[in-house]
Amino acid sequence: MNHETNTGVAAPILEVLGLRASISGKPILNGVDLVVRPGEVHAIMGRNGSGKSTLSNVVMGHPAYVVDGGEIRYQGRDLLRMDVTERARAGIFLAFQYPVAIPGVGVAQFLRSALRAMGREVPAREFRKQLSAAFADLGIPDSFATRHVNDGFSGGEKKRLEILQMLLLQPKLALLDETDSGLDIDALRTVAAGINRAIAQGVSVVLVTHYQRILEYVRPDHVHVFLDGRVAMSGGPELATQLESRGYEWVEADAVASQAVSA
Amino acid sequence: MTLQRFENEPAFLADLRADAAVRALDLPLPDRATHRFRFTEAAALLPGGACTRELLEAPVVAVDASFDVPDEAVAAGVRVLPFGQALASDLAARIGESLGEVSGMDDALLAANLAMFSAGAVVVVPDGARVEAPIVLRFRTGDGGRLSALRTLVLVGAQAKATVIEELDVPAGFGAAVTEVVLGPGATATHARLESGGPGGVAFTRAAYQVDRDASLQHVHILMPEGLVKVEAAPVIRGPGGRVEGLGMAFTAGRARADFRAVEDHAVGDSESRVTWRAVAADRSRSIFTGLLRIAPGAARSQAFEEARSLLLSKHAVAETIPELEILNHDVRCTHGAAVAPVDEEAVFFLRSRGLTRSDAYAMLVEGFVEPVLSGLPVAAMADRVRDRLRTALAAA
Repeated sequence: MNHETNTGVAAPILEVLGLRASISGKPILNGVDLVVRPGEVHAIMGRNGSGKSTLSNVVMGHPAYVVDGGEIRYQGRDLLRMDVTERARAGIFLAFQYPVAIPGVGVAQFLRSALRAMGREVPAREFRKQLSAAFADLGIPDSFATRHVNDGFSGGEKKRLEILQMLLLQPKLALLDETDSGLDIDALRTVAAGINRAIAQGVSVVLVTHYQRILEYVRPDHVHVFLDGRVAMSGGPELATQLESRGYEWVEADAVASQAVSA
Repeated sequence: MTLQRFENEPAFLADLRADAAVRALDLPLPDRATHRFRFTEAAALLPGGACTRELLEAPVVAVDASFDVPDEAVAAGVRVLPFGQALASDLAARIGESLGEVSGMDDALLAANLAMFSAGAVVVVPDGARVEAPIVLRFRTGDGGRLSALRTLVLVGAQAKATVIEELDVPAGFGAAVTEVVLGPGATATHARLESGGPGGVAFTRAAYQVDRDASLQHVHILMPEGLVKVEAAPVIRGPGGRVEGLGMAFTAGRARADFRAVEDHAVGDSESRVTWRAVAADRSRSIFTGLLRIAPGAARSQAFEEARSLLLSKHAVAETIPELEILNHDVRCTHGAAVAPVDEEAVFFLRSRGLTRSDAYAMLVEGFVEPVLSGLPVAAMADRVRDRLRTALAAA
């Protein structure tokens, strides 16, 4: 019996089942399970090295990671059979933790190429209008258009540009990899407002962070805590607050306890 | 020896050719022990691998030439003539003063070119004439297996301004083109050379420049061979206030080979040179840059800058990027930088995550890489041509 269709719950946009992945032979993900339904916001928290960034990179298809087992289904399709370009064109977006500089390529030229690649070619004049409006929304000066992509950008400028790309490209699923790190409070608010705009437009979001701070601005439906490459604890938004007061040791202790119980 | 190539060659040329022929036959062909030819030996640039009497006396090989001379150049009194016609005109005496003087004939290749050139152009820009639109000289060599020798002489008068673009296509066989450019006091000139050729084409070219007081030269070299090219750019700043900007790039794919050498020679001080080079090598191709900054003992207050970078698109491609310094005066400012790197796979992933295909991502990275050169090109159409070539080649890869 299929509960989901019978009860009217939307089919998941992303299903990660028992995912194991490694880099240079070193296992990072050790059986991740995650189900994201359309329009949901999932926050993934955890210490550095717990595998949360790896998850977003593996979902996008980063070539350095090897999937050793498990499944990723996107809108019911086997994601692992799609290359990076196909994943992007199918509506998956990754906001990079460390956005890459593309020297010699202007921001406007890059964004227009990306739109074209997504099959959304717009006339030059309309594009300039769109871009100008998007810049204004994110507090980015128009002079950005001719600067080279992420070349000599400050950390905050890079993160704003990532969010701008998300808003312009209109993905179905956005993986935001520590988009909040390195932002001052004003930049954090601006970036959060951009994320909320995407959420309001129906984008499903997986928000990877190790601070609770951004969750004061972007309200998650679900919070998951990563530990040793798997989801150690899941809950509602209140879990983030608990984490803030009790720390990750609490999750570790809990994981040890539940292991002891199952043993 | 019968060396005449044009009808009614003036006596000075007959003498010059005879001198050059003797040198061509007497001087040993430079091998790899000769610094200038350490990556490409001179023998590879001549049919039969040797400079012989038969080569020098071989019948003329046809060269297709066509020139675009803008109206404003004609109105300003600029003369653009095929070499043979120029020799038969009132310009003969002026040609006699400069021909061979700028480039010299210190080795067998240069001497052979002077002895046997049979095509080319003469451009004379009168003092004070200022022309914005480019003068374009197109040459396409014929007859596979034999050598076409060309020669171009550009004389830019005092305070004059001009842009001369030479396009050389060597579809097969051997081409050798020597260009001499003389800038008078206060002149501003751009000389650009665009080199292309088929997989069987072999070209040797040299552009030599003489830069007078307060003159400003931009030399541009775009190499997109499918075969082999050995290219030299050699400006000499001979007057204080002289400035040189050297700009160029090579794109090689398949088994193509590009060997570029720039020698920025500061014979006097209070002068400035700046070289920017980009090489992109794909497949099993090979790209070489050597750039010498030479500051003469008396050339105080010279400033010389050189930046050369190479991008490898395949692990089988090879790039040599070598700056060289010969600084004989202490009161100078010189900097140089060189780098060879493969494509940044993280950047490819980033671009693909924005929907670009792998080949579009490569094209974007390559175009960005050569942007410092393309943005400085004298004519936008040149940059478009380079972009087209890059896109076609990268889409096919």
